[in-house]
Amino acid sequence: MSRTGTWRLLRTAAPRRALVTGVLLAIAGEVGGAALLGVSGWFLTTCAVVTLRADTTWSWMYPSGAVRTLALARTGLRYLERLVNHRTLLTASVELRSRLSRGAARLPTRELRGLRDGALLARLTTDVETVAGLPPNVLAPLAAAVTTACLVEILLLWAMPLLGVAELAVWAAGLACARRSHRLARARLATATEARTALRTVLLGSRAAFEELRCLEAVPQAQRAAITAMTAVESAEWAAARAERLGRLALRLLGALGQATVLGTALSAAPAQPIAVVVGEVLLVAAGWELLDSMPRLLRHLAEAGDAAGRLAPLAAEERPAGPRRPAARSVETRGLPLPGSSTCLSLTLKGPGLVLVTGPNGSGKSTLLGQLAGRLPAPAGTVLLDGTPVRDLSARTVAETVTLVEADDWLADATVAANLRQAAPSADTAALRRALEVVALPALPLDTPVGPGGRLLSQGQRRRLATARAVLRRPAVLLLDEPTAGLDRPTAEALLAALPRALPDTAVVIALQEQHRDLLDRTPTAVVPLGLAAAVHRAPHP
Amino acid sequence: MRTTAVLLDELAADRADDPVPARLKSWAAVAGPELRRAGVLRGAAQLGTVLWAGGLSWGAQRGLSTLNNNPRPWTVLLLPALLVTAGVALRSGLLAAGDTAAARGARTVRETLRRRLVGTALPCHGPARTGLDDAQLVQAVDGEVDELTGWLTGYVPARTTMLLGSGIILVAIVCRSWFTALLVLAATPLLPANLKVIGLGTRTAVAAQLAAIRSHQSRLLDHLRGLPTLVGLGAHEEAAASVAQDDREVARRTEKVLRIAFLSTAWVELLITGTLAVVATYCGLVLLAYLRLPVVPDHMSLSAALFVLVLVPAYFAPARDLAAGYHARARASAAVELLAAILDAADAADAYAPPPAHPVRPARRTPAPPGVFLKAVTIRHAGREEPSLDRVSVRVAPGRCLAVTGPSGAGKSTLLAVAAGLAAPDDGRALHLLDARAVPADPSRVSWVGQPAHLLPGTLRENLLLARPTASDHDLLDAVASLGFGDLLTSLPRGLDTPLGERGTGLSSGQSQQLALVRALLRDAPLLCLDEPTAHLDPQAEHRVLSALRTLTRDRTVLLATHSAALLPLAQDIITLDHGRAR
Repeated sequence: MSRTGTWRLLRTAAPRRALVTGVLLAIAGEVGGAALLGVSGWFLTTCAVVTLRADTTWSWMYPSGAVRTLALARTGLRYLERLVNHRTLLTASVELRSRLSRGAARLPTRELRGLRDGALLARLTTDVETVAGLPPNVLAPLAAAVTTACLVEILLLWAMPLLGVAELAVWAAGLACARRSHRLARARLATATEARTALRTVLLGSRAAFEELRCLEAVPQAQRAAITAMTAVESAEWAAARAERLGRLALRLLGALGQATVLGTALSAAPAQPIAVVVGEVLLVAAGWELLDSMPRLLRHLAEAGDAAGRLAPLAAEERPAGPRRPAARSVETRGLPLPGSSTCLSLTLKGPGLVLVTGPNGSGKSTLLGQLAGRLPAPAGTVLLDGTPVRDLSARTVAETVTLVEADDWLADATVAANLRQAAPSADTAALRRALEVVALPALPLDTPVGPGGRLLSQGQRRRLATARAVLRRPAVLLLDEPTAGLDRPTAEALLAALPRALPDTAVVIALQEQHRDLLDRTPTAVVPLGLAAAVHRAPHP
Repeated sequence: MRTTAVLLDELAADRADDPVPARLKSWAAVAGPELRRAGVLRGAAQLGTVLWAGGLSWGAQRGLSTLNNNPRPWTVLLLPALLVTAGVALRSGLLAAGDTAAARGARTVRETLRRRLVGTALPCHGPARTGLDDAQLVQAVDGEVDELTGWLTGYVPARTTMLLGSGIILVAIVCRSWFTALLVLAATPLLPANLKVIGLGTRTAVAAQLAAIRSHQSRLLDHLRGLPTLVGLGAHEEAAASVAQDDREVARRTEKVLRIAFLSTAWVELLITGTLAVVATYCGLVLLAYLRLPVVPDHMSLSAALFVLVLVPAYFAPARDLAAGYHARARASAAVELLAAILDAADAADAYAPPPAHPVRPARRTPAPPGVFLKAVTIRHAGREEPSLDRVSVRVAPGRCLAVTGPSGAGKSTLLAVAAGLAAPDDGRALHLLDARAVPADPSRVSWVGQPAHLLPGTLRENLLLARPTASDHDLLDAVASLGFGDLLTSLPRGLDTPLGERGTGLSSGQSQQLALVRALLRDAPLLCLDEPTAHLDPQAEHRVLSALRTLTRDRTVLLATHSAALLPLAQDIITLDHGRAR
């Protein structure tokens, strides 16, 4: 992503005033630091000159006071600057995180599944902090260094134009040098990134096929391949670091040239330049070069932030205009949806009360079919329509108003039972929650029970029933349940399956069950979708 | 939350009995000389600073003494200007050399650690470490090792740099003005060695804040895990808002705690600038000859005054760098926890599984295929309560094919690994029957075909030769043809020389699987273990693999783990596993 992209992302999260304050404080602090050194040198030399000339009119009080004031002011300014910029970092992180996690919710489910856990968390923490860390880590020091250098340059131009021009040339060379080494290092780092991917692939691949490799006695070869990949990473990174080191060395040598120029030119051009001014100038120039020393590091931070912003870009995409708010659809219809493991297609309409059974052995595609019906997984062919509109054209919210899917191992928030239920119905009172728990045969579960991370404090059966109760509270037009009875004993499973249609009299319920659990149902389903074997929709005659 | 958490972590750190630094130091010992050299070179770079200060003050003095000559002879200033240049150049050169040495040392440490990690991930002998999470392992090799870099290059040599560098400067200052040296020395003990000095009174608050940040992080992770469900429930906006509210609250409290952390940096800076101001004022007064105190020197040349003035900040710089190294140190400590866990687990496993005393024999075709006998085998995986296999007994007669079916996670792959001798059972025995003689199961008798098939980077030929290093091209082509995959090679323009990237890039998963089968044939081991050989293949590819399997399974004892109904006709016996039990 370009630098403007990074900047735009930061600007959406950090208030302009905070950014400006931070930068101004940093500038004031660094200028104060350079001035402290320059003024001290000038002050000492003037003292010597005054003594030499026995000049009694010169007062040492003001310059010496200025030195102390600058010392105090610099410390205070730096402290304030750190506070302000770190506050900006914190607020910007919070804002970015909240925006990006909303953006993550708009990603397609499959992509989200591929990303979630480590990768997404890393983006929302490390990457966000890299971008939000721009004000303290890059913006403030960069602005301070550039402004100080400019001020020193203006001072030189004003004091002695020839010297100013000479110094300007050296500085320009320094900047060009920093830029060039940065480019070089970036190119090498790109190689290193590729080598890293290779290393990861070799490691993961060899781990996945470890049994085969061991039987072939090829583990040493795999190890060698991994170590070769690792060495490639190190070499590329070494080259990048070398480019950066050489850049810094060149910058410092140019600094030597710059200082010698000031000393030689200015001192030999007396009496236009009093000696005290020259000493002050040399020290100012030295301070300026000291700041420019950090240029390679700042450029690297900037590039890193650019990369991080690039990774965040898909999450930061602008929200699509919601469009007219649609009422919840009442029907779900499939047209020509191919069934896994067979050549037939599924054409089915789910509307009003009814019970559809999806059966088949493990791995026959029951969960995939439910995911497609809920619009979470893309259908390879055919369409799923909600009230006649293809599901991919509808917003996630509209789909959520119509269809509720309970996955086989559905997620539960690490909170209490009540908090989990209230996700489905934020305004529901305790009685409503209790009724939902009764439907799923969990009447005895206290509402304030914590469920633990991933619901691990509950049993498998309890987890499934709690997720089902949550879905019941939505009162959707279409309810999709993936093996709701797994981990339940027979009487409980039967009770649950019997209570569901009673509690949701207007809902079309689709239940995925293994073939051998089919007899748990107390009624004949309106339709059966068998998967895996000879798949064709068997329609039972309407009762 | 990294920067912030690291700052807080440092405030809360308890140095007295922290095992992490000891661990870090032992790892860094590999590159000890390099890192020490880096410290010495960086410290010696202060010699350049001294030269620079000398040149500057000398030039000023010369300028002063020729104040009334008009114009000043140019040659007067040539030497000082040269000295200034030489000083800066010397400093830059030594610093660059020091950085190179530090980088080289860090590279040595990283490579050593990575080698150990790779050795852990892919042990040459003994079973795979099943307790390791692959993602965590890759993260360790790829990411965590790099976290040590800052600590190695910055923090480890910093003490040497400080002692040598500040020492050089102090000696230089003493030579020109012993009183200034005293002033500077008096300020030194006020320099906090680390943030903790200032954070002393707030340890509990800081620890609580750190815990709050971590718990918020796990809440964020929980939220991200639940996103698909939350979107499905139409509740993600509300949930996101509540997480953001929590985040804001944590940030607000963090900010308060950080004020203390920044105080210590401010104190260091105040000390440096304050000392500079005091030295400047003292020198100025002496130069003006206003200072008349007993003991304190009341005479000084401009050159001496300027010299000590510019050296004062240089004196404190290394100490400031050392104090600022907390960031690198805290990051390294965090990385150590993960790395040490993996390496310790490996060391513990090595203690139980000594390398085989006899060299592994290459697979050789014994006249008759062996039988397999598993006797009440139990396998437990670390961190899981239920055993992966629970007292499973299996007997496969020589030359027969046993299919193992069951839902995912039922223990099919584990059963195959035990039967192949790749995993030692926690309980029970795994035996191969050679001519009715029972011997312990040994992988050298086994060909394994799994999914996904793994091809190492290299050419197609090299990958096939893994199975039989002595085979000629003719043998290879023969093997390919005998499984009916002749068209595979003709479809590749470079034939056996086709380069395969990581994970066999350039080949479809069906083609990779075919190569794995050819490899198994070349290996010619009497016992064949097929772990889901057709998973993720389309029906056409599955069909091709199936017909090759018919050839491959002839005259071999076969264990076949599969979901696919199409493969079941290959088997004479079927066993179904569920939750680690035979059903």
